[in-house]
Amino acid sequence: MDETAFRILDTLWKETGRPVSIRELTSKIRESHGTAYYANIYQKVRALTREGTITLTKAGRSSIVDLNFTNYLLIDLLTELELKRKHNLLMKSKELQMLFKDVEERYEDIRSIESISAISAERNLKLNRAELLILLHDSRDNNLHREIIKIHAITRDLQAHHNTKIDTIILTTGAFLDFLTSDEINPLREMLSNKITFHSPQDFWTHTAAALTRGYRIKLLKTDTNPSKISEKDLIFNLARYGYKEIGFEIREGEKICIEYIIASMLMTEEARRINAIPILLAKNKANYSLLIFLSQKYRFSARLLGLLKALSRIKPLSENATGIDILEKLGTKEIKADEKSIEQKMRLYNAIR
Amino acid sequence: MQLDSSALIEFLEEVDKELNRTITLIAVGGTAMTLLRVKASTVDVDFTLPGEDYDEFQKALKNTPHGFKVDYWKDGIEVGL
Repeated sequence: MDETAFRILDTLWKETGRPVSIRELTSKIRESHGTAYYANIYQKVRALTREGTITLTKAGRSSIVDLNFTNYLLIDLLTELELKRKHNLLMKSKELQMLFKDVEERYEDIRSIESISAISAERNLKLNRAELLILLHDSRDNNLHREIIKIHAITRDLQAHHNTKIDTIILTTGAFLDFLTSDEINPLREMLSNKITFHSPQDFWTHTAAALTRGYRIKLLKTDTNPSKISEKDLIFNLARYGYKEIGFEIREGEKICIEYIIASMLMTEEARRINAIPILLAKNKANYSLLIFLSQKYRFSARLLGLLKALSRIKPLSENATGIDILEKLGTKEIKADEKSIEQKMRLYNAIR
Repeated sequence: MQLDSSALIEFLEEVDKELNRTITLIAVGGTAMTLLRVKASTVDVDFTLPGEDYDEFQKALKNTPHGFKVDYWKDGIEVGL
């Protein structure tokens, strides 16, 4: 693959879900790679279209460019693109070379792992941390929980060995696709435009392409939400969506944000009234505990989260909650006790328990 | 992890992005010596800062997910990490 084709495919993936004309594509390539000339991009787009790698659709006076996921060969090209990105990154960082090598070796025995991606690797390296997205094969097997615990245990060893903080988000491919196709702002939609799949990229692209050809609509986001900065308006709006209306606050239409970000936001503001409302949200809605634990590790609120989950488990036992507690305990989290009496009263008031 | 002066500066640049106003941050011990290039690197990241800037720095640090061990003192008295 030549450099122009690499830049086109790379940019089109990052723009997945947004219609892009050749002119816009040129300017987006210029933004991220420094230079781009319309004539060159146009010629290469035509060639890639003839090969069937991308599609060109007329829309008024312009043509919309998109990746052609129905083309089986595209998966190989995207895999090649991933390997090239990995190579470029690792040539710049010996530290990441050692870390990626160790990650691949240490996780090798875990059969349920489908692919591993590093998120914003260069930026995180500056902060002495790594973010790993670990995708697991969909399975109804009861061993999955045991495998997740094992992954976390290996991650702890890797952290100690490399003196680097490693935050992992472990999802089955099914859960992963649910996040990607959601209309809510969530970390998965935000992180994918800046990821490098360094372990089994072919598997990653095979599943993603299969989902897209089945009609899943993926729209990636370029934002990087910090939960503590979610506006009061969006927080109130989403709390109401999740069944918790605060008295005295006007609900105005806001951005739809995933429940895990909302819970993280409430925990980071450290207001007791909001923190005690979290079990209501967990009892009334389905949250992804793997994502919640990832956020709690990233923003260091695991201790408080564990306290809340334990209080909830005594008031209203839920199986996902028990799994979350188990993982946090295995991660060595020290609990900050929650005000169980006040939580129970609040849950009764908001009909989360009878 | 050993941090040299450029790694320290890169880390501070990331924290700086989260600050809402200018604050005074004073590097202490090995951190100061590394930034002054008297020492090649440091393991600990230590600062002291005036009381009025403490909350702003703490908030910015909290909003910057990182893997360093950072100790800081309010007017010279240790209060957090």
